[in-house]
Amino acid sequence: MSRPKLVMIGNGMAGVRCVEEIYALAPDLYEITIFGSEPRPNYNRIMLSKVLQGDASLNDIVTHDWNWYEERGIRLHAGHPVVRIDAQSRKVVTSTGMAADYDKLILATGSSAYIPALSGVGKPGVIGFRSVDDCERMMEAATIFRKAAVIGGGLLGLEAARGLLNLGMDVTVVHNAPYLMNRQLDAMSSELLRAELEDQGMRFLFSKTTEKIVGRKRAEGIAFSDGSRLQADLIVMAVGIRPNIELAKSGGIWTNRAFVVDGGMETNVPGVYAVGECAEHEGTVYGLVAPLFEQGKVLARKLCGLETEPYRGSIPYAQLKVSGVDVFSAGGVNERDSDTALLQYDGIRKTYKKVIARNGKVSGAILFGDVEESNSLLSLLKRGADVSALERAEARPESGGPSAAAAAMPERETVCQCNGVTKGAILAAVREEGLSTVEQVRDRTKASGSCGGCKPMVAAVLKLALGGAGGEPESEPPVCGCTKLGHAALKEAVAEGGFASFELTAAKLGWRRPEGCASCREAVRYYSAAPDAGRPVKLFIGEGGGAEEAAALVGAELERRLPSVRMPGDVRIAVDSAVAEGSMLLVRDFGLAEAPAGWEIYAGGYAGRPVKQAQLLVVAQTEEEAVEMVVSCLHGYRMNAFYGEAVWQWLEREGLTAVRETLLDPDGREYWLKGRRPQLGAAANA
Amino acid sequence: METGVEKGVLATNAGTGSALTQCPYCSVQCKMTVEETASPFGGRAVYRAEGAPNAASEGRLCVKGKNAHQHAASRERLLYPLLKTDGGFVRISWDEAYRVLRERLLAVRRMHGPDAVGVYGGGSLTNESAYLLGKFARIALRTRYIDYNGRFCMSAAASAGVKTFGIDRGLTNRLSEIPHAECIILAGTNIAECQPTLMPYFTKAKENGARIIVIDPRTTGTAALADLHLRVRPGTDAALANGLLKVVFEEGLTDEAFIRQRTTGFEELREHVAKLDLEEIAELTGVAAADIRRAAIAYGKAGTGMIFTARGVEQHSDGHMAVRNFLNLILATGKIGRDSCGYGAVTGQGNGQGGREHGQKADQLPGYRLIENPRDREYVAGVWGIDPAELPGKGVSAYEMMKLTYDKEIRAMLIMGSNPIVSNPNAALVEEGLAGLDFLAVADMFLSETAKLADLVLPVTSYMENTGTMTNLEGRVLLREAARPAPGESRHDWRILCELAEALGCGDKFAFHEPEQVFDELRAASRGGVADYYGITYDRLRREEGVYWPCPSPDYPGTKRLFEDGFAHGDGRAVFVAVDNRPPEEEADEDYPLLLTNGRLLSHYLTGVQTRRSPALAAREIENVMEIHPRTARRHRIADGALVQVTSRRGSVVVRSKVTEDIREDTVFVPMHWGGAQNVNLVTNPALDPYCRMPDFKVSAVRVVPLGRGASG
Repeated sequence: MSRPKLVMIGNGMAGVRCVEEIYALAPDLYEITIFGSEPRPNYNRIMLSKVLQGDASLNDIVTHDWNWYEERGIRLHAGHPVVRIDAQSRKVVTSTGMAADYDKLILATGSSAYIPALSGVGKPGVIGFRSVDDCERMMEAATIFRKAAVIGGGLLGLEAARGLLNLGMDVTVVHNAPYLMNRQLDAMSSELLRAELEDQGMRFLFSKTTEKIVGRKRAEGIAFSDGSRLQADLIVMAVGIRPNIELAKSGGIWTNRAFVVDGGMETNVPGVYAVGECAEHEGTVYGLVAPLFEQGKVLARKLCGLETEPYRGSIPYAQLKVSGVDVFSAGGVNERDSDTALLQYDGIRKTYKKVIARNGKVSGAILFGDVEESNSLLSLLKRGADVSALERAEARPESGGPSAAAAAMPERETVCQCNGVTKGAILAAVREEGLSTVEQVRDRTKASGSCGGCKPMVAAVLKLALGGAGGEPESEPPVCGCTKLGHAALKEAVAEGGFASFELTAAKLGWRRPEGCASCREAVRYYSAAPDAGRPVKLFIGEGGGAEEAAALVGAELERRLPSVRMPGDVRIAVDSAVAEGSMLLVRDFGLAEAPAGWEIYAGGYAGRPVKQAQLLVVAQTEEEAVEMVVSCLHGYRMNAFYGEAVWQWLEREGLTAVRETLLDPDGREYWLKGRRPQLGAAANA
Repeated sequence: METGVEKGVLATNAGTGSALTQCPYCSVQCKMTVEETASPFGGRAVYRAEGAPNAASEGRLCVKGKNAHQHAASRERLLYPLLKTDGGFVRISWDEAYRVLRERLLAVRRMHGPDAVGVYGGGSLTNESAYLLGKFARIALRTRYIDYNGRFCMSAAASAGVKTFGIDRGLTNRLSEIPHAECIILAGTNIAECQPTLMPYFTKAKENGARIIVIDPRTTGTAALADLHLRVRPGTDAALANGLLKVVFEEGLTDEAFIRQRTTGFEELREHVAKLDLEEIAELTGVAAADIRRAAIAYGKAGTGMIFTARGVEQHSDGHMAVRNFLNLILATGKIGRDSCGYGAVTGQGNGQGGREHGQKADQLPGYRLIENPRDREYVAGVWGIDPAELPGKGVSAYEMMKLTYDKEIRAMLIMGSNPIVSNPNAALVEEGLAGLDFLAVADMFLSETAKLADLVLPVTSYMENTGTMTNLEGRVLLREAARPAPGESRHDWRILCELAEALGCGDKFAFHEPEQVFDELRAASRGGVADYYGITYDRLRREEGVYWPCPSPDYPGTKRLFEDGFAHGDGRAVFVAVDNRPPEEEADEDYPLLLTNGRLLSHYLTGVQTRRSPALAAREIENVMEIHPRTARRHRIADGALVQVTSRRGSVVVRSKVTEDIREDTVFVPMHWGGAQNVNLVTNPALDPYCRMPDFKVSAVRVVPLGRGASG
């Protein structure tokens, strides 16, 4: 007996997730065929901005490759857009002349960038930001043009703008409202966001209504309704999305803004369903990823004949994916009959938190600068928790719990002390072997197999891996918009290549712009060990109120032995007789202080933004040992840190324990002192 | 300095590329394989360790074991004999070293008599070395003064076992029975950090539905597993056990038939406990009466159950009686000598068990024989080929030897495998005593705190280089074979003893060339004793991967569970004893308002001579700390991370504060792994237990004062 035929139109995130769910529930129930208009397998559209920003490659964001479809016996026709539904004969037809019968049909056509009908929008140089093609066009344009304008100061517009900045363009964001992301943020958080993005080099025009795109053959600028103009070679339209519902007519499907569905995601036509950005549920079209997945789940259960709660709508939430900026927003934040339940602003750390309540229940939240609590707030929101729950959460400083700690932990840090299993080892095992329970992790890696005390942390790391954040191998952001290479790759390439000049380096390593920019030029010079490249070391002796004899001696000896070569970042070293109240010692990159058990060596302090308190690195027994430890660690930092990386950042990346291990090993200490780089493994063969 | 061990010298098992060895640290003695690997720092030999299958740890290895190769391969290993000359150490030859030893030891003996020379051993020595050390002291030096750091390890449990059961073996049954026990009491034992590879036995028990009761002033990793955690005030364990007994009696949870048929002395105990008041016990111990009831009923009602004790109960001036009171509880409920029932003294040191069975202890001869017992003397003298009258009498316990040193009764000392100036209580006095000796020789792998005081330092081999047997906490004897050659000129402990005996003119009694020859004599010397090893041979150990003692003949399988038929006393009965409620040896007062207790951390072992020299372990805990409750910290104006001076009537230690709710408000905790200014034993109390001479390490009245930074408010 042949199986019923399930056809899906659209090969995007919402639809494929739904099919994935169906396959997981009942792999043999349907014969599944998918038609996609783009000639590629499913990718994570959300991550397009990362691709544009250079933080990920196109390959990185493919979530389901060709094999995935093949292994499951799913027929994928990519690059064959469906143009007609024949509801009578239950058949779909593509523009390329293909046709397929269906018993059940899922509409997952998604949406397109909304391009308003303005004069000149058809000119070359005006594009939306929606697909891999758009992305590639922007990247291409960036190699030829300098000036870009993004119309729309919402989530997508800002992500596109940041990407264009990374590509080396001058970017102006044009917004029709008085402040950015006005749907998700309030004025205060929006202002913080603007300030941060301006620091990053973005420019803004507010309350501007675009009248037309000007230019002869191609777009050359924007004319606004107030008569002003902006010159631009590339204009990105990011004012909104428009559901793709052209098929409604032929299929006889009701639409409003999108295909109208009920709680079972079914349209007015029996057997025809819709999910994702092309579906409208109780008057709302969702454009964010979580609701789409929730819809997919409901539909999958329904199609598999399983009992399911109807889809009841989702609480929208959003997180801006712009490197260096953490913004989170959930629920209704600008509604009339709501109150502010909690408001916190830290002007030094530049963090902002606002929780909104309606009738005493948590109904919305905004986080800026520190989004660690986003999950816990979202769960309060989803539960419709009473505002009193906030009080409990506030009272418990470690409310982040193991999950926050797991996320913050460097991969080299040990999770299971008994068995010496690192976070990285657990992540790798989960990734490579598809583990999904703590028990499986225990059996594979031995983590939590002995005392079991680390079980909550193992669970948190597992969750992290399964949740995606940290589940992907850490990909390295590029040095700047001029190159795809991150610091690690660049450093190694320069060391291996031994190029004579920056121009040669840029040419050999495929720079987008041969002349580079200030960031990459300095980095390359540093990695090629140009004698004057790098930052100096400064010594502060006795700034905490005068060094006594021993500290003065240590200071002098340190001065004598300081490496003459320069550092990847500014290094400030403080030497004092004791860690005195209010002393700067704990906000210096290195600090030495005399203590009863020997010389305490602190590292990773920072007086800039964010302020970092130094951690105790080691305790040296004698003055000589203290000096040797610091000088050795300086060399370790010099050789292993990336250009521009502060000592605290380097320590966080390497892990404090790992750095200690090298320093406490006389061989390791000597190794650094001799100026070798164990990480590259050259020594193993020496 | 180079270690002299180059790459590619691992004594690998054919075809595997890796060598089988055994972790040198705790009493589990996990088997492991080491494989040579490229050092990230250059051409020296470094290793990678993996757990190997064995019945105790079942292939697990903790972070200590994983990194135990680091100290063995450390460049700080001593490679040549060193003689102190003008305040500094100078390399000398072994011939020269033996010449110095002979002259100096004989000079002291001539001037002050044989008892002016002391010998001090360690619980990490192999059975072979421990046995020879005892023989060496009695025959080559003819001194009564020999004892060892194992005195601090578990003399209270050992003496309690002997008095109650007639025998002292760490576990009376097998580890593999733990998962089937219905109720488990873990008293003063932090297995999660001290013997982490044993934890799965307890987690399995819990998964099987066992009730787990932990008695500890701190919320340790072990306590996290507990169904019921009794946060006892340090030093009041004996009283707490009385509370448990009282409830057991009142609830009628005793096993009358067992008591009648297999024990003596019960009526006195019952009468004694009847006079005690549970509320008073609750007050004294800081444990609520309701919790004592819950614990007693859980253990009393369970069909099977086990009780484990360790240093938390034992290291007190009433440690012997405190342990006996827990043994009372076991006997009263009849939970011993059958499946999943019994007692475990969780030894801390690698060979804590074997080290105390073969004559390293002041009052003992091999096979757990007593040096004061004429028949025992006669037997051992026979094996050694001497006149029993030549055997000296019994000496004194470890700390008492240090006192005699301080008092200049002992004038010269040989220390092997121990770091007494860090591990003894009242450490300042001990250091002064040893520094004042006419002659001090120390055999060690490293220039430990004690070795630095020595006139002569002898470099010894590590566990990776020295073949020998170790007896783990269960009483299972294991053979550990050498995995690599000795670095430099370092020599095995047992070989040094043989060569030194030769230098002292009694080489004929020490004519051993292989450790197996030493073991064979040990077998004979222990034959017929309580700890009878006669039936155990190297061949059997290789074949059977470990044999439990007592094992009286080569065809005897070994005793997996003790007391199935009878106890080891002459009448076959176990002995009850009435134990008084007692406050801690030292009570908090106005001047010293807090109680200090001490213990271990996961990544370190004993005085840290080895683990502080292992970068991976040292990096995890770089310095000593003091755990203190947040409210107590506030009261004493101590911020988290501040340096604190902890002072008792004996002295002061400076450590960094760690503010945590995991400790009682009236107690602070400082680990024991550091020397110098961070040595907790500068503070601890040398008051001794009258029965076993165990010092009261675990409770000292102290005051805490912040130093410099961190004085909040």
